[in-house]
Amino acid sequence: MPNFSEKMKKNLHWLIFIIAGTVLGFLFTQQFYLQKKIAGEVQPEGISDLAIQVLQLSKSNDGLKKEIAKLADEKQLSERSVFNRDTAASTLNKDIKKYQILTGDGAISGPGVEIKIERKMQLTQWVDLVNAIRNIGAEGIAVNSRRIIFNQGITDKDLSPPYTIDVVGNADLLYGSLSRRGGILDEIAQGQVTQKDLLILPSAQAGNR
Amino acid sequence: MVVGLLVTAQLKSKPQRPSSTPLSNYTLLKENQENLTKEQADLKNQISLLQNQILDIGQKLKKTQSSSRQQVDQLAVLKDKTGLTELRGKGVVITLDDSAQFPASSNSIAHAADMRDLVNFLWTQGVSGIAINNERIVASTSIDCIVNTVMINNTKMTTPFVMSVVSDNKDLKGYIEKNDNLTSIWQRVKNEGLKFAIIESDNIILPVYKGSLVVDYAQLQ
Repeated sequence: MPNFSEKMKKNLHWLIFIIAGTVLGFLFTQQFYLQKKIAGEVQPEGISDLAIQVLQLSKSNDGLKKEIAKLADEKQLSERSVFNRDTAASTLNKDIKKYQILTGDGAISGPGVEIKIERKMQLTQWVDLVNAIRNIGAEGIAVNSRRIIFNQGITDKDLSPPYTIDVVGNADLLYGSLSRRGGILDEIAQGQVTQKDLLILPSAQAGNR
Repeated sequence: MVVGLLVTAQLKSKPQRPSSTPLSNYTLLKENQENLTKEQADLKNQISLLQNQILDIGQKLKKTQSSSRQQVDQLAVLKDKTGLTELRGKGVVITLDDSAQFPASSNSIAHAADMRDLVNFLWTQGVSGIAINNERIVASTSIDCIVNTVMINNTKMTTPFVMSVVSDNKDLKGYIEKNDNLTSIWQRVKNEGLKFAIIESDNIILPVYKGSLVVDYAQLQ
């Protein structure tokens, strides 16, 4: 029959074994959950995706703030115009010109880029390319001397190669965005982009459907 | 030793510099995103308010400056065309949504490209105006895919995409439903269960565009 001290020794071994097992189990579990949390919530792509969204929102809000400043000026001028005939005429003329540019009611000129594409493009490619050009901030687009206006749409029959796409807007930004390797133009049509100091685009009514 | 290794691994897993961990960067970006989204809504409301005030002043101008009446009317027509006034009328409501089938595939979900095709098709049918999830389609609008969301007028949105269309064309629903048109969408409706519904309505209301319209480089000839 084992004596008391031997019995105690045996129990102590068990106790140490149980404590070590518990600690190990705890550490395993902690490690597992921590890794899961890091992998699930903070994937590197997740952060970069979020960064892109934040950048877009920030850019958009800057644009909205500028628009507010412009509208506030327009409002002030309009208020003055109510009692002043000359101010009224000049304010209205300025606004009319701005909206005529946006709606295509009149020929426009300005700096920008010219894109040359030789191969035939499908309708979906046209839709994507024009969308991308608008996203860069184009103020006017014409394809083969035909103005492309947002509310007229593009059809297969409208366009045949070779294509010359004239885009009025920030020439540096348009050139930089459109000539990027792997960018929309590279992906769709391998076109040639050239910066232009002055382009003239026809009105939407000139020669359009 | 094993316990020691585990303790070390445990310590290594913990962030040593809280300011530079992926988790804190993520939280910071998320907070920024939420704040910027709120700010965007506020800025759009300010724009809407200013646009309404300018329209009201235009009406006053017509009364006080009779010589300007023609210009005020011309400007009002241009603002209508630009999407700066509310548009009401008959038309259709189109809903585009992801398929319920699991697991999802690229073909079973609604894409920004689908909406671009739809918008282009609708304009070719001569519709008067379009809005997607209350964002008016205007000259500066682009429809882009940003990660898992779609950005229209720089506003983030997700499914379902509800497209409101004002049009006098009585056959518009039929044209959209014609299999020869919008073939990519219809094929995926048939094969993948993509949700695509068109309902005619007599009372469509398109909101005013509340974004920026920048003209910095173009000049009228």
